[in-house]
Amino acid sequence: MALLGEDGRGYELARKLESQGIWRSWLGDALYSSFIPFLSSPAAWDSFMLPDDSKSRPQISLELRARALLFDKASVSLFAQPTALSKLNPNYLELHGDDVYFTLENGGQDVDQRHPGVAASSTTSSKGRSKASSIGSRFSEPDVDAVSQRLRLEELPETWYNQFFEKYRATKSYTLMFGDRDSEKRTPEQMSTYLSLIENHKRRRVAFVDNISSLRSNPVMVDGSPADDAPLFPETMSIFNCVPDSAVLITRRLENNQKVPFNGVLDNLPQTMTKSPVMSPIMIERLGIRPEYLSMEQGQGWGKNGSQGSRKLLSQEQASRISQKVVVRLLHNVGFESSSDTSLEVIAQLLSSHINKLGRTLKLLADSYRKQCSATELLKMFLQTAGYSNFRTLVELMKDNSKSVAPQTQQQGLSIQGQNLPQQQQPSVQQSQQMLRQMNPQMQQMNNPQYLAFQQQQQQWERMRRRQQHQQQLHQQQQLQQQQQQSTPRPGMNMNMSIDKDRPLVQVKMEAPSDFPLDTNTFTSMNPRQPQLRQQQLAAISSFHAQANNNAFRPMNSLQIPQIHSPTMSMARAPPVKVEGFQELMGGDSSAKHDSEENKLLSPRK
Amino acid sequence: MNGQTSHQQPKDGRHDDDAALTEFLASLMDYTPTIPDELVEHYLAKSGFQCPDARLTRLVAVATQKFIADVATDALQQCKARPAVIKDKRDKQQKEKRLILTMEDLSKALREYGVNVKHQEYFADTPSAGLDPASRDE
Repeated sequence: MALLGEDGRGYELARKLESQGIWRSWLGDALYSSFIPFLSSPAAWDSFMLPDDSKSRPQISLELRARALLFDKASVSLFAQPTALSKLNPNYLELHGDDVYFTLENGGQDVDQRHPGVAASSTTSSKGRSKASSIGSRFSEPDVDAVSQRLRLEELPETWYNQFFEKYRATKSYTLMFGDRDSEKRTPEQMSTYLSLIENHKRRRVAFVDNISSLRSNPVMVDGSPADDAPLFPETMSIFNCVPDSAVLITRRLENNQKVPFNGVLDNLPQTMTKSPVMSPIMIERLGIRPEYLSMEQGQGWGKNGSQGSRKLLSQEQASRISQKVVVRLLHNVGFESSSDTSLEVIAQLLSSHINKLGRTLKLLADSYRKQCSATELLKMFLQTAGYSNFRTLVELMKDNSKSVAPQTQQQGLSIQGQNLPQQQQPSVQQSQQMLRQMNPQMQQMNNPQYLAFQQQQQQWERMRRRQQHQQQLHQQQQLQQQQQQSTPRPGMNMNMSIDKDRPLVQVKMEAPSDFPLDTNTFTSMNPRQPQLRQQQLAAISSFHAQANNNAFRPMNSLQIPQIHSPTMSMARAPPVKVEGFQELMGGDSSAKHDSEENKLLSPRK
Repeated sequence: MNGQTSHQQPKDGRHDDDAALTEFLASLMDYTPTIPDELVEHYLAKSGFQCPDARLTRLVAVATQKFIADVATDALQQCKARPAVIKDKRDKQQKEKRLILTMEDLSKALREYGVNVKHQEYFADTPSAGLDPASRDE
């Protein structure tokens, strides 16, 4: 505490108290005379304040009482900015009886005789400062007797507070409290009066003042009483109207509302080395640049979107819709042509439940073994729980899907058209939908006449796409031939394969010089059977397999279709996906379905 | 000597596993799963798990994709195993078997995974339905 000086003895403060004659009031005349020699010099003061075992009991008691006042006055520096001793308000250094809270329990009444000792202990508390003095309660004479007995043992007179309260109790204001019942009302006027009273009281008792003269130049008149420093006891003066200074409680708010970065155990997964022989050449080959994420900080670059909240949040309905679309795509990859509504919903719910289950597993593992295991070990435990302890299966799935996705994305529009084709309408062959592969709703709309209107609009679009696919077909011809030979041939399919082999080849060559060989009638012999053929082809088209063979067939199909429809002008720009199933036959798919379709395709030649 | 080598081998094996796992995690960023990240994060957050690392999200997506693909494959096998129905004699052709996912095939496939989606065979309209006439009279 700064007010106690550098050595902490408080000699200067003691001198200042002496200058105002406070020590005499505090200690009483008897003790004051024995105390004053110690204030003569700093050395004497140091010897007085220094704890020494050789001191007698009265000396120690005197020292304690002196310390009580000294530290009480100096304690203001704990709560205020450290300032100089000279700026202390003299009024603050004065002894005030209302610095101590006097409880009014059993005021003026009989005292509970059963607990005399309890009352003797310190039960008072200051209004704003801690008191080191041992002050007995004021409300019972037996307690006072106990205190006085104790004091007699210590050979010290009563403390100043005791004396003060004895005097105050005898005053008129104290006795009036119990007699005057008219003032037992709580009114706004009295409350505001009390607040102004408290305000003035605090202003008078302020510890540090910059200009003492300014303090005295502001006389306070409250209720006509003079601005003297009378003791203020709200518990007696305004029992019902003493209110807090402010209606808003002063609370310590948390100043730091910033987002605290919280790193879970799985947030910092091990990164691959930048010199990995597997990753670098692949990334450089594909992109030509080094992957960004390898140079980012651990865990932050990859997930920065999530941590910053820029990820799109989904509602329950959006999530269910997206999950249904995902399920459609997954079923398509597996090989299904269509699905019932109920099955779709069931699998969509299964998907969401499975993700939930995996999330629960991850959370459980992370919470339970956060301290024992590292992130890698937790991941292994998770994979084992999920049933993928050997994650090769996942790697294979990724490879298979990436093979099927890469060419599929290029053919996306055309392949979607194939799914939408009805079985009975020729014009509808030209219908094309630039939507995602949704087998179920599209199959339901097969006979919708609205699709007829799309023909002319999408003819040019198909033309553009075919031009792009033409180059791919040239590249895939050789692969196609090899795959046809390697496939498990059926007895009836050999001829068909050889015949069908020629078709794409021929068609590709013919298409090269011109965009759409409308005049080529290579397959005009098939015209009579076109409707039937088309029906069969449409049925076969939508049977996809997540294999490269089928993907290679699709571009071939796109070329065959316009030639088949050449006689019909309206069919000039037929969608290409019609003959996808036809190509699958060439690919040697060993399923019974293809076998039967191939038989259907051969029927016109017979 | 032997003890040391045998003690070192498991450590080397573990290290290889860790490296393989790390590489697998890195490869996840090259592959875009069919299940979008937002959807996976939505359901993971619903279960209480949140992780800013996108690799973990994709791992869950790939695992779920594999699971659904397995279920769908089993259902496809069930669908193919059913004999095709000859619809009309006039066609002189066997109606092609279109692979349509039905609840019948799906329920058979899901049964192996412990999910029961079997339809009720019948619904009783009275409490005494299906009981013997003697007990019904009582």
